[in-house]
Amino acid sequence: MRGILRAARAILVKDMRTELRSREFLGNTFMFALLVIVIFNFAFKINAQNAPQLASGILWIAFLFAGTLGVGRSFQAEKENDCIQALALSPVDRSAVFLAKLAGNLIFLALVQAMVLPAFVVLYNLNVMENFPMQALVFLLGDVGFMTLGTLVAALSANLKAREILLPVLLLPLLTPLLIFAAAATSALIGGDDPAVYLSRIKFLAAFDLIFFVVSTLVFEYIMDEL
Amino acid sequence: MEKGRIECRGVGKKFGDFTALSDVDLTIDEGDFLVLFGPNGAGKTTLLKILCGMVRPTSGTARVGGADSHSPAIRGKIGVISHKSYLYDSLMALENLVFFGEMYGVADPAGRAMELLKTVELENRRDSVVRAFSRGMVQRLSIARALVADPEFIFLDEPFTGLDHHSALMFQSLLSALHRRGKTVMMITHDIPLGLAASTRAAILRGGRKIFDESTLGTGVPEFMRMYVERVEK
Repeated sequence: MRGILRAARAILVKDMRTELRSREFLGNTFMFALLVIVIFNFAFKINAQNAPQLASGILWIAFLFAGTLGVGRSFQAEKENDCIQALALSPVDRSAVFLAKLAGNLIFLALVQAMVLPAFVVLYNLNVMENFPMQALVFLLGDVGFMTLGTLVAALSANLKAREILLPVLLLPLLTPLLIFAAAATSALIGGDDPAVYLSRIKFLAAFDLIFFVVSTLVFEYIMDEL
Repeated sequence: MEKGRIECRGVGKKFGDFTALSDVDLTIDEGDFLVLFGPNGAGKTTLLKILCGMVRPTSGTARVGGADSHSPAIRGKIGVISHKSYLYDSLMALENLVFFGEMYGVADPAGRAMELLKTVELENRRDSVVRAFSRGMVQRLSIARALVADPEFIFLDEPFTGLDHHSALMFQSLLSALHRRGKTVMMITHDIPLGLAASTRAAILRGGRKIFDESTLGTGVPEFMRMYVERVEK
């Protein structure tokens, strides 16, 4: 296990270094997510009554679009010069590659969220950070589920010619239950609903994460063979 | 003796209806340098990929160092050099080697990386990104990457592709030095003079079958070329 974590850390550091050197993708993705919440703000008539339901959905749609762009890139650096073959030839357990890519995608999404949330609070006049620990837990569980599936599907589609189109086509149906429950939990927390309402949704998110994390880690080894 | 040996028995590989390899037997003894020739589509790269554990054979067995070529245990003992560099363009030369050193669990990745950069005469370019390298420099760094864990077995797939004459000769002398250090080497190339100069044995594949496998010691290039044309191109 220590070997897997050491290798995952090395891959993550390498990916972060590459990303920091280009420094263009995070900014562009943030702008894209910001545009989504600005456009929706003008498209809907949001008032005090419908704000919790509408705004939480809009927020998760912005995260979904930004996150999908991010995961799409996670295996592109490895395809350059066939570096993925070098990783496959190395003696590290292949789950280390999955864990590193998942961690990198999670950090990327968390950074985008940290930049988008203040703009969201200002535009929608909603305090997303009401009941902060629970809201943070919803974001964390939503992000883990989203990025676990996203990383797996990005690996699956890495070799396809039309991967930019196929990635969202394959990913979105799988993510639908997660997004519904994440948005509903955020909405319940913003609206100040009974704790039983959001706790049941948080439990669903935790179960979703656990199932897909185990399945993705196991399946990834076979996907690496095809990369 | 099996420890340093590469062995194929009845290896076959099909991609759908297409047969890439058919019933190939091949043994490379410890310390041997085998060069594999053959026209495009003969199955050379497929055979190399099977031996590296990158592809599973449809039939037969491929063993490297006494273990199944697909077993994770053997991966740390194999170094692969391809016409693709397997290097990250946006990382520096030193960063690339340190990264692969970490992947192979090398005790002192930075120290080993510096040692290898010296071997391939790139120590003064350690902080340059690979994107800025010439093809010859990339290929030399690619050798350093493949040697990071001091592998027992070295596989090369058309390593002379895109190299000018001077770089090719330098690359060849690096390969000879490796061979003298007792590494078991298998190389695919279309360059018969360079291939023969480096090797101790040559094999030829045609249409997925092995049609020639003999020692090259004392074999002249014109003589081998004549034989190659007769067997492969006629």
